[in-house]
Amino acid sequence: MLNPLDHTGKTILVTGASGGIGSQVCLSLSRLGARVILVGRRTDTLEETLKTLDGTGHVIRGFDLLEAERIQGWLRETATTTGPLDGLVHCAGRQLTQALRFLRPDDVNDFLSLDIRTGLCLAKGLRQNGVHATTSSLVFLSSVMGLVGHPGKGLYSAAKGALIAMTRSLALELAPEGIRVNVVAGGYAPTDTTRRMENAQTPEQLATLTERHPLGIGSPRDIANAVAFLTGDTGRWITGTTVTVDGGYTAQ
Amino acid sequence: MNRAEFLNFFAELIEAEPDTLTGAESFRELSGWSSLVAIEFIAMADEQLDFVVSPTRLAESRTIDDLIAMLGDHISD
Ligand SMILES: NC(=O)c1ccc[n+]([C@@H]2O[C@H](COP(=O)([O-])OP(=O)(O)OC[C@H]3O[C@@H](n4cnc5c(N)ncnc54)[C@H](OP(=O)(O)O)[C@@H]3O)[C@@H](O)[C@H]2O)c1
Repeated sequence: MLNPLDHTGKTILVTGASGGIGSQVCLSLSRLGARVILVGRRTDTLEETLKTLDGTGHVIRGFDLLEAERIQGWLRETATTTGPLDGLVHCAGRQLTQALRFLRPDDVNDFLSLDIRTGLCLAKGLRQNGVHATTSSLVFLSSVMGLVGHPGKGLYSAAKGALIAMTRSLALELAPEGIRVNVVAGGYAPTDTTRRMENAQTPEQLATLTERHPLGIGSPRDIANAVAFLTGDTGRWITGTTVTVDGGYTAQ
Repeated sequence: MNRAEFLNFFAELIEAEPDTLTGAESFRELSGWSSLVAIEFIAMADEQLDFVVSPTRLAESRTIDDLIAMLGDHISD
């Protein structure tokens, strides 16, 4: 049976594989036949993700992505052992809701780093000869907060909006090298991290959050399916695009 | 952190003058309180007092003294 989402024979590196969205991306890609390289700092949690995966040959690579100057060498070294990458999905990220008056200037650089600095260095690392396969797909994880606003989301929106903006330029620069670059802008898909943040909300606020998603709140699986569409051959002719997966949040 | 320090910390959180809070105030009715301040309060409890605020306990709290009671041993007399 023809399955255009089949990932058999593809090797995909997933950052944030110890997190809620990233672990689901690993699981979904493995179920579609991919071999996954799981990246994060907490290797014990990466081991937990690994246990859930279908198939064999998956690899754990513990790494602190804030050490951006090491990314190029680290990706080259990774590809030497795993073979060239058919895809790289950058799910590592942080959540933040913070009133402007509590913002410390140093927070800004710290927070933007994982999306912008690391994101750009991952793209730079992937484009090296031998690191990417003849064709490869780079996917960033953004949020509806990169497209629309919300009080307390200034810094988070800056990070997520930057991913959307840089995706277009990277897509144009890397198209001649066979690398497609896209970004998924997710609505609310609860993970352990976001559930912890829910503690700060009143039941009324949570009800409003749900109402703002006409299709209801989502799940990491909804995000992972969109990622798979972009890493699979289904995404063959898609680059420079923001795929919004938000249950209708931004339709209003 | 003791009670007086907490009251001054809380005053700073809601942009009130230091030494103006007694603890009896209904914090939601204070002009500086908002859902974003609630987020900062929860983060502070976690980071500085190693206390995880339960959403139900927070929802049930009415006065600043209720918050102090919720924080229990983490606030000394
Ligand atoms: N969940 C949602 O509703 C939602 C919606 C839209 C967009 N997003 C975006 O999706 C992404 C993942 O969100 P999530 O909910 O899955 O968060 P999460 O569960 O907190 O996962 C965050 C991941 O980032 C990794 N990470 C953080 N700092 C790192 C570093 N310095 N080096 C290496 N890895 C690092 C963490 O791994 P270690 O701790 O092991 O290092 C963890 O795997 C974020 O970019 C978020 O903005 C989420």
